[in-house]
Amino acid sequence: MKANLDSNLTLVIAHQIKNSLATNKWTIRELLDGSQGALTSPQKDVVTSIYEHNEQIIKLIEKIFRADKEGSSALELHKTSVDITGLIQKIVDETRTEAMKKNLTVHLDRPDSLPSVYVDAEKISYVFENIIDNALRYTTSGGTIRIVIIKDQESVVVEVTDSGLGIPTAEQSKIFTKFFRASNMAEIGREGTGLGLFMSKNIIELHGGKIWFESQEGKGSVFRVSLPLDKMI
Amino acid sequence: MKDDTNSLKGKKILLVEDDLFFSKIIESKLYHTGCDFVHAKDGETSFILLEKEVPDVIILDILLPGGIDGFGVLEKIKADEKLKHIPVVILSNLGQVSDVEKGMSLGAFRYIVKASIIPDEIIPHLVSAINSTVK
Repeated sequence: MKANLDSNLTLVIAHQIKNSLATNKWTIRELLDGSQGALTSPQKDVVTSIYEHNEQIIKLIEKIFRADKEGSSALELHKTSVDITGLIQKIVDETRTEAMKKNLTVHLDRPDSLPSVYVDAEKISYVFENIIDNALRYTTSGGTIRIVIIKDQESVVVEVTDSGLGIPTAEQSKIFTKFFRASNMAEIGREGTGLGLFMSKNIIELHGGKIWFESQEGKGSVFRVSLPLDKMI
Repeated sequence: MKDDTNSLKGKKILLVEDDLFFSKIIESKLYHTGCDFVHAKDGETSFILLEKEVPDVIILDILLPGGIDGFGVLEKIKADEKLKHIPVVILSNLGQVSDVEKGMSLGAFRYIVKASIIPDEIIPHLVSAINSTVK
Protein backbone atom coordinates (compact mmCIF):
# COMPACT_ATOMS: atom_id res chain seq x y z
CA MET A 1 0.00 0.00 0.00
CA LYS A 2 2.81 2.39 0.89
CA ALA A 3 4.49 1.70 -2.45
CA ASN A 4 1.24 2.64 -4.20
CA LEU A 5 0.96 5.85 -2.20
CA ASP A 6 4.57 6.74 -2.96
CA SER A 7 4.01 6.00 -6.61
CA ASN A 8 0.82 8.08 -6.73
CA LEU A 9 2.49 10.96 -4.95
CA THR A 10 5.36 10.82 -7.44
CA LEU A 11 2.88 10.91 -10.31
CA VAL A 12 0.99 13.88 -8.84
CA ILE A 13 4.23 15.81 -8.37
CA ALA A 14 5.45 14.77 -11.83
CA HIS A 15 2.18 15.98 -13.32
CA GLN A 16 2.46 19.36 -11.58
CA ILE A 17 6.03 19.73 -12.78
CA LYS A 18 4.97 18.81 -16.31
CA ASN A 19 2.26 21.45 -16.24
CA SER A 20 4.81 24.08 -15.22
CA LEU A 21 7.18 22.90 -17.94
CA ALA A 22 4.43 23.18 -20.54
CA THR A 23 3.80 26.74 -19.33
CA ASN A 24 7.53 27.46 -19.65
CA LYS A 25 7.60 25.96 -23.12
CA TRP A 26 4.74 28.08 -24.40
CA THR A 27 6.14 31.24 -22.76
CA ILE A 28 9.64 30.74 -24.11
CA ARG A 29 8.25 29.95 -27.55
CA GLU A 30 6.32 33.21 -27.51
CA LEU A 31 9.58 35.04 -26.76
CA LEU A 32 11.44 33.21 -29.52
CA ASP A 33 8.68 33.90 -32.03
CA GLY A 34 8.94 37.61 -31.30
CA SER A 35 5.40 37.95 -29.99
CA GLN A 36 6.74 40.09 -27.16
CA GLY A 37 9.16 42.06 -29.37
CA ALA A 38 12.20 41.06 -31.40
CA LEU A 39 15.14 39.55 -29.55
CA THR A 40 18.74 40.40 -30.33
CA SER A 41 20.85 37.54 -31.65
CA PRO A 42 22.65 36.90 -28.32
CA GLN A 43 19.31 37.06 -26.47
CA LYS A 44 17.88 34.56 -28.92
CA ASP A 45 20.79 32.17 -28.28
CA VAL A 46 20.23 32.32 -24.54
CA VAL A 47 16.46 31.84 -24.83
CA THR A 48 16.96 28.95 -27.29
CA SER A 49 19.26 27.30 -24.77
CA ILE A 50 16.59 27.67 -22.06
CA TYR A 51 13.99 26.22 -24.45
CA GLU A 52 16.15 23.18 -25.22
CA HIS A 53 16.86 22.61 -21.53
CA ASN A 54 13.14 22.77 -20.80
CA GLU A 55 12.54 20.18 -23.54
CA GLN A 56 15.07 17.85 -21.89
CA ILE A 57 13.26 18.10 -18.56
CA ILE A 58 9.91 17.39 -20.27
CA LYS A 59 11.47 14.19 -21.68
CA LEU A 60 12.70 13.23 -18.21
CA ILE A 61 9.23 13.68 -16.74
CA GLU A 62 7.77 11.57 -19.56
CA LYS A 63 10.25 8.86 -18.55
CA ILE A 64 8.97 8.95 -14.98
CA PHE A 65 5.41 8.49 -16.22
CA ARG A 66 6.46 5.65 -18.49
CA ALA A 67 8.64 3.96 -15.86
CA ASP A 68 5.76 4.09 -13.38
CA LYS A 69 3.45 2.61 -15.96
CA GLU A 70 5.91 -0.16 -16.84
CA GLY A 71 6.48 -0.82 -13.12
CA SER A 72 2.81 -1.09 -12.29
CA SER A 73 1.86 -3.24 -15.23
CA ALA A 74 5.10 -5.09 -15.86
CA LEU A 75 3.37 -8.46 -15.82
CA GLU A 76 0.93 -7.48 -18.51
CA LEU A 77 2.55 -8.10 -21.87
CA HIS A 78 0.50 -7.33 -24.94
CA LYS A 79 2.36 -9.39 -27.50
CA THR A 80 1.95 -9.06 -31.22
CA SER A 81 4.02 -9.99 -34.23
CA VAL A 82 6.66 -7.25 -34.51
CA ASP A 83 9.25 -6.45 -37.18
CA ILE A 84 12.20 -5.91 -34.84
CA THR A 85 14.46 -4.39 -37.50
CA GLY A 86 11.74 -1.91 -38.44
CA LEU A 87 11.21 -1.03 -34.80
CA ILE A 88 14.91 -0.35 -34.27
CA GLN A 89 15.25 1.50 -37.59
CA LYS A 90 12.44 3.83 -36.45
CA ILE A 91 14.21 4.56 -33.15
CA VAL A 92 17.48 5.19 -35.00
CA ASP A 93 15.73 7.55 -37.43
CA GLU A 94 14.28 9.49 -34.51
CA THR A 95 17.75 9.96 -33.01
CA ARG A 96 19.31 11.45 -36.17
CA THR A 97 18.75 15.07 -35.20
CA GLU A 98 20.19 14.57 -31.73
CA ALA A 99 23.15 12.66 -33.18
CA MET A 100 23.84 15.40 -35.73
CA LYS A 101 23.72 18.05 -33.03
CA LYS A 102 26.38 16.16 -31.09
CA ASN A 103 28.37 15.25 -34.21
CA LEU A 104 27.90 11.54 -33.56
CA THR A 105 27.86 8.84 -36.21
CA VAL A 106 25.15 6.21 -35.89
CA HIS A 107 25.45 2.97 -37.91
CA LEU A 108 22.77 0.32 -38.14
CA ASP A 109 23.72 -3.11 -39.53
CA ARG A 110 20.63 -5.20 -40.12
CA PRO A 111 20.19 -8.56 -41.80
CA ASP A 112 18.34 -8.67 -45.12
CA SER A 113 15.53 -10.65 -43.62
CA LEU A 114 14.45 -11.61 -40.15
CA PRO A 115 11.27 -13.31 -38.97
CA SER A 116 8.88 -11.21 -36.92
CA VAL A 117 9.28 -11.42 -33.16
CA TYR A 118 6.34 -12.06 -30.87
CA VAL A 119 6.79 -9.30 -28.28
CA ASP A 120 5.10 -6.34 -26.60
CA ALA A 121 6.09 -3.65 -29.10
CA GLU A 122 5.61 -0.71 -26.71
CA LYS A 123 7.74 -2.26 -23.97
CA ILE A 124 10.46 -3.48 -26.33
CA SER A 125 10.59 0.01 -27.92
CA TYR A 126 11.07 1.43 -24.42
CA VAL A 127 14.08 -0.88 -23.94
CA PHE A 128 15.84 0.03 -27.18
CA GLU A 129 15.00 3.73 -26.86
CA ASN A 130 16.71 3.66 -23.48
CA ILE A 131 19.81 1.80 -24.61
CA ILE A 132 20.27 3.94 -27.73
CA ASP A 133 19.47 7.14 -25.81
CA ASN A 134 22.11 6.22 -23.22
CA ALA A 135 24.66 5.61 -25.98
CA LEU A 136 23.91 9.06 -27.44
CA ARG A 137 23.87 10.73 -24.06
CA TYR A 138 27.17 9.38 -22.78
CA THR A 139 29.19 9.56 -26.00
CA THR A 140 31.04 12.80 -26.53
CA SER A 141 31.19 14.79 -29.75
CA GLY A 142 32.74 12.98 -32.71
CA GLY A 143 32.00 9.51 -31.32
CA THR A 144 30.37 6.52 -32.97
CA ILE A 145 27.40 4.34 -32.09
CA ARG A 146 27.01 1.04 -33.90
CA ILE A 147 23.84 -1.03 -33.72
CA VAL A 148 23.99 -4.57 -35.05
CA ILE A 149 21.11 -7.01 -35.33
CA ILE A 150 22.18 -10.65 -35.53
CA LYS A 151 20.12 -13.81 -35.83
CA ASP A 152 21.62 -17.01 -34.51
CA GLN A 153 20.12 -20.45 -34.07
CA GLU A 154 18.34 -19.73 -30.81
CA SER A 155 17.79 -16.00 -30.67
CA VAL A 156 17.91 -12.57 -32.18
CA VAL A 157 20.61 -10.42 -30.61
CA VAL A 158 20.68 -6.64 -30.82
CA GLU A 159 24.05 -5.14 -30.00
CA VAL A 160 24.54 -1.42 -29.27
CA THR A 161 28.17 -0.33 -29.10
CA ASP A 162 29.26 3.18 -28.22
CA SER A 163 32.61 4.94 -27.90
CA GLY A 164 31.42 6.80 -24.82
CA LEU A 165 32.46 7.21 -21.22
CA GLY A 166 32.12 3.59 -20.21
CA ILE A 167 31.05 2.41 -16.77
CA PRO A 168 33.59 2.26 -13.91
CA THR A 169 34.45 -1.40 -13.14
CA ALA A 170 33.57 -1.09 -9.45
CA GLU A 171 30.05 0.09 -10.33
CA GLN A 172 29.21 -2.38 -13.08
CA SER A 173 27.39 -4.82 -10.81
CA LYS A 174 24.86 -2.08 -9.91
CA ILE A 175 24.04 -0.95 -13.42
CA PHE A 176 20.59 -2.61 -13.50
CA THR A 177 19.67 -1.43 -9.99
CA LYS A 178 16.75 0.98 -9.58
CA PHE A 179 17.80 4.66 -9.47
CA PHE A 180 21.49 3.82 -9.98
CA ARG A 181 23.55 6.37 -11.93
CA ALA A 182 27.25 5.82 -12.58
CA SER A 183 29.53 8.36 -10.91
CA ASN A 184 31.20 9.44 -14.16
CA MET A 185 27.77 10.19 -15.72
CA ALA A 186 27.03 12.65 -12.91
CA GLU A 187 30.45 14.26 -13.38
CA ILE A 188 29.69 15.35 -16.92
CA GLY A 189 26.34 16.75 -15.81
CA ARG A 190 24.10 14.45 -17.85
CA GLU A 191 20.63 13.98 -16.42
CA GLY A 192 19.16 10.56 -15.93
CA THR A 193 16.50 8.91 -13.83
CA GLY A 194 18.36 5.70 -13.07
CA LEU A 195 15.22 3.84 -14.11
CA GLY A 196 15.82 3.01 -17.76
CA LEU A 197 18.13 0.01 -17.45
CA PHE A 198 16.31 -1.28 -14.37
CA MET A 199 13.04 -1.32 -16.29
CA SER A 200 14.72 -2.64 -19.45
CA LYS A 201 16.06 -5.70 -17.61
CA ASN A 202 12.62 -6.44 -16.16
CA ILE A 203 10.97 -6.15 -19.55
CA ILE A 204 13.51 -8.31 -21.39
CA GLU A 205 13.42 -11.03 -18.74
CA LEU A 206 9.61 -11.04 -18.89
CA HIS A 207 10.00 -11.89 -22.56
CA GLY A 208 12.32 -14.76 -21.66
CA GLY A 209 15.30 -12.85 -23.05
CA LYS A 210 18.58 -11.58 -21.66
CA ILE A 211 20.31 -8.21 -21.39
CA TRP A 212 24.01 -7.88 -20.59
CA PHE A 213 26.93 -5.58 -21.28
CA GLU A 214 30.68 -5.12 -21.36
CA SER A 215 32.23 -1.79 -20.59
CA GLN A 216 35.59 -0.16 -20.18
CA GLU A 217 35.83 3.22 -18.56
CA GLY A 218 37.03 5.84 -21.02
CA LYS A 219 36.58 3.54 -24.04
CA GLY A 220 32.89 2.74 -24.24
CA SER A 221 30.26 0.09 -23.72
CA VAL A 222 28.44 -2.58 -25.61
CA PHE A 223 24.94 -3.57 -24.53
CA ARG A 224 23.38 -6.75 -25.89
CA VAL A 225 19.76 -7.84 -25.81
CA SER A 226 18.68 -11.29 -26.89
CA LEU A 227 15.13 -12.38 -27.59
CA PRO A 228 14.61 -16.12 -27.87
CA LEU A 229 13.65 -17.69 -31.18
CA ASP A 230 11.06 -19.91 -29.56
CA LYS A 231 9.03 -16.77 -28.85
CA MET A 232 8.85 -16.08 -32.55
CA ILE A 233 6.11 -16.93 -34.99
CA MET B 1 -0.66 29.47 -42.45
CA LYS B 2 -2.68 32.12 -44.33
CA ASP B 3 -5.05 29.44 -45.60
CA ASP B 4 -5.40 28.13 -42.05
CA THR B 5 -6.20 31.61 -40.81
CA ASN B 6 -8.89 32.09 -43.46
CA SER B 7 -10.48 28.76 -42.62
CA LEU B 8 -11.23 29.95 -39.10
CA LYS B 9 -12.71 33.31 -40.09
CA GLY B 10 -16.18 33.71 -38.62
CA LYS B 11 -16.06 30.32 -36.90
CA LYS B 12 -17.09 30.08 -33.29
CA ILE B 13 -14.50 28.42 -31.05
CA LEU B 14 -15.16 27.47 -27.45
CA LEU B 15 -12.16 26.92 -25.18
CA VAL B 16 -12.78 25.07 -21.91
CA GLU B 17 -9.64 25.72 -19.86
CA ASP B 18 -9.10 26.71 -16.23
CA ASP B 19 -5.50 27.88 -16.66
CA LEU B 20 -5.63 31.56 -17.58
CA PHE B 21 -2.09 31.50 -18.94
CA PHE B 22 -2.94 28.89 -21.58
CA SER B 23 -6.27 30.49 -22.41
CA LYS B 24 -4.64 33.90 -22.94
CA ILE B 25 -2.02 32.49 -25.31
CA ILE B 26 -4.62 30.53 -27.28
CA GLU B 27 -6.82 33.61 -27.50
CA SER B 28 -3.87 35.67 -28.76
CA LYS B 29 -3.08 33.04 -31.42
CA LEU B 30 -6.70 32.99 -32.58
CA TYR B 31 -7.15 36.76 -32.49
CA HIS B 32 -5.77 37.28 -36.01
CA THR B 33 -7.83 34.48 -37.55
CA GLY B 34 -11.07 36.44 -37.28
CA CYS B 35 -12.82 33.68 -35.36
CA ASP B 36 -15.31 34.24 -32.59
CA PHE B 37 -13.56 33.12 -29.41
CA VAL B 38 -15.43 32.14 -26.24
CA HIS B 39 -13.85 30.91 -23.03
CA ALA B 40 -15.22 28.79 -20.21
CA LYS B 41 -13.10 28.26 -17.12
CA ASP B 42 -14.77 25.00 -16.08
CA GLY B 43 -17.16 22.29 -17.27
CA GLU B 44 -20.30 23.78 -15.73
CA THR B 45 -19.69 27.16 -17.40
CA SER B 46 -19.13 25.45 -20.75
CA PHE B 47 -22.66 24.02 -20.66
CA ILE B 48 -24.15 27.43 -19.82
CA LEU B 49 -22.39 28.80 -22.93
CA LEU B 50 -23.40 25.79 -25.05
CA GLU B 51 -27.03 26.42 -24.14
CA LYS B 52 -26.76 29.91 -25.65
CA GLU B 53 -24.86 29.10 -28.83
CA VAL B 54 -23.41 26.05 -30.59
CA PRO B 55 -19.73 26.48 -31.53
CA ASP B 56 -18.00 25.07 -34.63
CA VAL B 57 -15.23 23.48 -32.59
CA ILE B 58 -14.41 22.97 -28.91
CA ILE B 59 -10.94 22.94 -27.35
CA LEU B 60 -11.21 20.99 -24.11
CA ASP B 61 -8.84 20.61 -21.17
CA ILE B 62 -9.24 17.48 -19.02
CA LEU B 63 -8.30 18.50 -15.50
CA LEU B 64 -10.93 21.10 -14.69
CA PRO B 65 -12.13 22.51 -11.38
CA GLY B 66 -15.65 21.76 -10.18
CA GLY B 67 -17.79 18.68 -10.38
CA ILE B 68 -17.12 17.62 -13.96
CA ASP B 69 -13.79 17.02 -15.68
CA GLY B 70 -13.04 17.17 -19.38
CA PHE B 71 -13.90 13.51 -19.95
CA GLY B 72 -17.27 14.14 -18.31
CA VAL B 73 -17.84 17.22 -20.48
CA LEU B 74 -16.98 15.23 -23.61
CA GLU B 75 -19.29 12.40 -22.61
CA LYS B 76 -22.21 14.81 -22.11
CA ILE B 77 -21.54 16.59 -25.40
CA LYS B 78 -21.48 13.33 -27.35
CA ALA B 79 -24.73 12.21 -25.67
CA ASP B 80 -26.53 15.43 -26.67
CA GLU B 81 -28.27 15.36 -30.06
CA LYS B 82 -27.77 19.12 -30.55
CA LEU B 83 -24.06 19.05 -29.68
CA LYS B 84 -22.66 15.67 -30.65
CA HIS B 85 -21.64 16.77 -34.16
CA ILE B 86 -19.19 19.38 -32.79
CA PRO B 87 -15.56 18.26 -33.17
CA VAL B 88 -13.74 18.33 -29.82
CA VAL B 89 -9.99 18.82 -29.68
CA ILE B 90 -8.61 17.76 -26.29
CA LEU B 91 -5.67 19.87 -25.12
CA SER B 92 -4.34 18.50 -21.88
CA ASN B 93 -1.24 17.70 -19.93
CA LEU B 94 -2.51 14.20 -19.26
CA GLY B 95 -0.62 12.26 -21.88
CA GLN B 96 -0.54 8.62 -20.90
CA VAL B 97 -1.75 6.11 -23.47
CA SER B 98 -4.77 5.28 -21.30
CA ASP B 99 -5.77 8.98 -21.20
CA VAL B 100 -5.50 9.34 -24.96
CA GLU B 101 -7.42 6.11 -25.54
CA LYS B 102 -10.17 7.24 -23.17
CA GLY B 103 -10.49 10.64 -24.86
CA MET B 104 -10.60 9.14 -28.34
CA SER B 105 -13.04 6.40 -27.34
CA LEU B 106 -15.37 9.06 -25.93
CA GLY B 107 -15.42 10.70 -29.35
CA ALA B 108 -12.70 13.36 -29.35
CA PHE B 109 -11.58 14.47 -32.80
CA ARG B 110 -7.96 14.76 -31.66
CA TYR B 111 -5.98 14.46 -28.42
CA ILE B 112 -3.09 16.90 -27.99
CA VAL B 113 -0.65 16.99 -25.07
CA LYS B 114 0.23 20.59 -24.17
CA ALA B 115 3.90 19.93 -23.56
CA SER B 116 4.29 18.28 -26.95
CA ILE B 117 3.29 21.26 -29.10
CA ILE B 118 4.05 24.94 -29.46
CA PRO B 119 1.20 27.51 -29.44
CA ASP B 120 1.13 28.11 -33.22
CA GLU B 121 0.55 24.41 -33.86
CA ILE B 122 -2.97 24.57 -32.42
CA ILE B 123 -4.42 26.36 -35.44
CA PRO B 124 -3.89 23.53 -37.99
CA HIS B 125 -5.59 21.10 -35.59
CA LEU B 126 -8.61 23.41 -35.35
CA VAL B 127 -8.74 23.78 -39.12
CA SER B 128 -8.69 19.98 -39.53
CA ALA B 129 -11.45 19.67 -36.96
CA ILE B 130 -13.65 22.20 -38.75
CA ASN B 131 -12.91 20.69 -42.17
CA SER B 132 -13.91 17.29 -40.83
CA THR B 133 -17.46 18.53 -40.45
CA VAL B 134 -17.70 19.95 -43.98
CA LYS B 135 -19.81 17.62 -46.08
